[in-house]
Amino acid sequence: MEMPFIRSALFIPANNPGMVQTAHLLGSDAIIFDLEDAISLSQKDSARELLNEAFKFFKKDSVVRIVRINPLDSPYFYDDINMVKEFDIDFIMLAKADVESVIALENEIKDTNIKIITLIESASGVLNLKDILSASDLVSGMLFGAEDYSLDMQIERTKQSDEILMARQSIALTCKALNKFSLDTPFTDVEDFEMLNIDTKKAKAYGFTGKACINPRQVRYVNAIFTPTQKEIDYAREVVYAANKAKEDGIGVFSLNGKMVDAPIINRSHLVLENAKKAGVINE
Amino acid sequence: MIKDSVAGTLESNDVLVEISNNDSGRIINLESPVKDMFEEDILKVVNNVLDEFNIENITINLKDQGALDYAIAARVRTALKRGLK
Amino acid sequence: MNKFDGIKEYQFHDYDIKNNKGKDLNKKLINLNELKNMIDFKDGMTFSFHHHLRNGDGVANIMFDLIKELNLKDITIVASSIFPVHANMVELIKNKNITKVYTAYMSGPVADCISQGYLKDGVYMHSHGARARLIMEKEVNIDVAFIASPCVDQESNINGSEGKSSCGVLGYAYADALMANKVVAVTDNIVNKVADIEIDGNNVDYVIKVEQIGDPKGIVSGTTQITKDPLGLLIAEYAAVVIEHSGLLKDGFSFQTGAGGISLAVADELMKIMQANNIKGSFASGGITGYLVKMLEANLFERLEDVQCFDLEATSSIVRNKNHLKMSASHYANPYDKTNIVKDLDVVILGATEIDLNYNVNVTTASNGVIMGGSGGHSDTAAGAKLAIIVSKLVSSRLSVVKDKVTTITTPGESIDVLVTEYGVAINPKHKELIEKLKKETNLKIRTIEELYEIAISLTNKPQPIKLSDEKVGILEYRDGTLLDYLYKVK
Repeated sequence: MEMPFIRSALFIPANNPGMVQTAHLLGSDAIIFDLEDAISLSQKDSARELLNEAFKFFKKDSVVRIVRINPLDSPYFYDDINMVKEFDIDFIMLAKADVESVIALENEIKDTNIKIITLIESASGVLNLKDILSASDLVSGMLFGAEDYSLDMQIERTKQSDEILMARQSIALTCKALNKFSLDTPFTDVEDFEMLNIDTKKAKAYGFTGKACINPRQVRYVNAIFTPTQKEIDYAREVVYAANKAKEDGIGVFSLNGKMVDAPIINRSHLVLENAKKAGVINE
Repeated sequence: MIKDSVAGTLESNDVLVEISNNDSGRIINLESPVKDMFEEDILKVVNNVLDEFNIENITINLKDQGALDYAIAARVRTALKRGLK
Repeated sequence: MNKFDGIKEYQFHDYDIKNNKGKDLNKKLINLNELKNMIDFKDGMTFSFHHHLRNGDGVANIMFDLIKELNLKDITIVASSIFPVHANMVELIKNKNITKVYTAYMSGPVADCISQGYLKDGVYMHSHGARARLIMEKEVNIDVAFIASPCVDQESNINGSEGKSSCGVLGYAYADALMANKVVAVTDNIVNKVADIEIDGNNVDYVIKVEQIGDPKGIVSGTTQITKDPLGLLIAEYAAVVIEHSGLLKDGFSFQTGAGGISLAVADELMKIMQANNIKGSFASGGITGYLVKMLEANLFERLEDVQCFDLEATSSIVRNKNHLKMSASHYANPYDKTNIVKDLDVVILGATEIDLNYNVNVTTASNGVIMGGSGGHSDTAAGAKLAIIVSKLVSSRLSVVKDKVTTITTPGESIDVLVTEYGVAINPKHKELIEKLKKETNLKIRTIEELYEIAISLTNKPQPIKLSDEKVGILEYRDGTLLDYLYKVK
């Protein structure tokens, strides 16, 4: 399955018309319309109804549509799914995802085109990630929720984020191995762009494919870091060129600048060029 | 028989919808900064939703802050569902 | 016959040729009661005042009280702008004490009253540059100019950037001081010598001292702020990209921006780009705010050319920065003034209440025809600048900024070059090269203005057209005095 191009995923409260109707303009690759934490208990119905009308009124464009629903252990899980499964959207994000809730969700939406993003926000979530991601073919990727994870772990959450280092790296590892996309936890200080950059660079370095944002101003920084750099693009071009030439000459594995280039590197280079095109930094 | 209920907010781009029962048909009261320009459109949306729910007797007060049609429909729908629960 | 015949012979006269002995102020300092005797106030006169004290002004009301007390009739007011603080004008208009008004901007009760048709001989709305032209070319003749003066010295010189009621610069008052028949300086601060002679004492006829010429809190806002709205920030980002790729952003660049939240955000974005690329501009002008002061102090411009100060940052900068220059409205934007600076502007960032498919812009009236603004420097800078960029949300609370026809034309479409909205950028079709360049070099959504209009309609539906009445209450004149549009009576 082709990996969707999601460098940034911006959270939007689903009950706010002003934000719902303009979210797609803010530059993020995906919007997460939130029915869970952003919506008070008495307004869950109102938020669902607003999204219902909004997705009918606004035709889908290139921005990926994600709706975050309430967890299985809440009174809203089935009410959410009953409405949301009719929406013209790409993904449902399942809060507090575990094997049981993924299977329950899959059951409800298996006749739609909607895929699943699991929100991993607990110790057991991180520990059982492989099983959760494998619980359904509809699971395409995941989001890491470090705030709730730290609460569950009873550890202090810091800007340096040393406390979630292992969790992040193991998540990136598992997702890569299972070919799922991985969205890093949002950076919660919306005024600190210097630390946002540092934190996002870490996420990229660990192997996350994107990062969630909780404020529109964060989007341009996150996009920039997850966009292939000129260096990566130039290298990818070299690889693809050399690979095409090698193919013509009937050679399988070859070397470029002293390094061996095999199929995984060639595939990755194609992906880099694909993503660079989607990001608008190259034309062909 | 419809209960008094409320949906929406007074924020920009939203509409606060208050409904209550009556016996004398559809009474729609609209307050809106864009009333001159969009009153017809707004009433049309409201009446369409009322038609959908088959409601002939109701008082609806709308305090609009420039909501688009889809948001008006959503808020009226929510108010009606709450009122009919 | 001697070729030097006829020259009067020298006579000793105590070194005081024109009886200028003693401090000039001593001859001119009077109180309000005395003023009524010194000046022969008559019906039909023309009075003027400036708006540098903004909504904290206390001086115009002195003039209004005088008109009321003397029950003067058929008075013409030439005010650079009119704010809610000038509400006392309403009664005078309704009672036909004041029957004609010239102004570049108005909002509040006076604007409502004039929109409702109470002003007998109508309102003449013009740009800041046109006001200077009107006065300097004697198309209006001011009998008495009341000049709110933050600081007056012993020689009756006036300075706007000194004193508890400092407003920074008195740019709109210079023409009045030069050309009015009688000039009355109203001050709350008399010193020995002003730090800067803005208005020369030779032009001042009378000085009146009062407790306070205005409320400092209303005179300048604390600091003007860039918008926090994510859509506004997005628009600012797009505008900066347009400027960056216009070919104009290089050493010697000149720039002006408004005091609105999005306009300031553009300055902020531009600052980052100029710093990153080591660009040194020539001047930034306007309406000066703290953001432009920041850019000056970061060495991004050689100088600021200031016709009015919008915030405390600007009023304090004008005192401490030698290259933060004061300028008159004439030097700013009078099309007849050979030194006017708007002709040298590269880029100006402007707002709009409405813009139509011909790029005509309205900043004077709301969609129902009520007056709630005015050109100010809008049509001046748009005409002068190489690139006049309108920044505005396309749709906000179901109102579209793009209309098929504007309610009132403040600035004609020929002088508007670009419209930047959250849904994309529209460029005046005459700029074929710029359109191609931006499409090629940037990721901006370049649309036609018709496309933006269609997008707006698809969101809001087509609005019911608002029918204006036929009764004219005023005119809009262009910079050169020609007729642009009419203002119509509103219920």
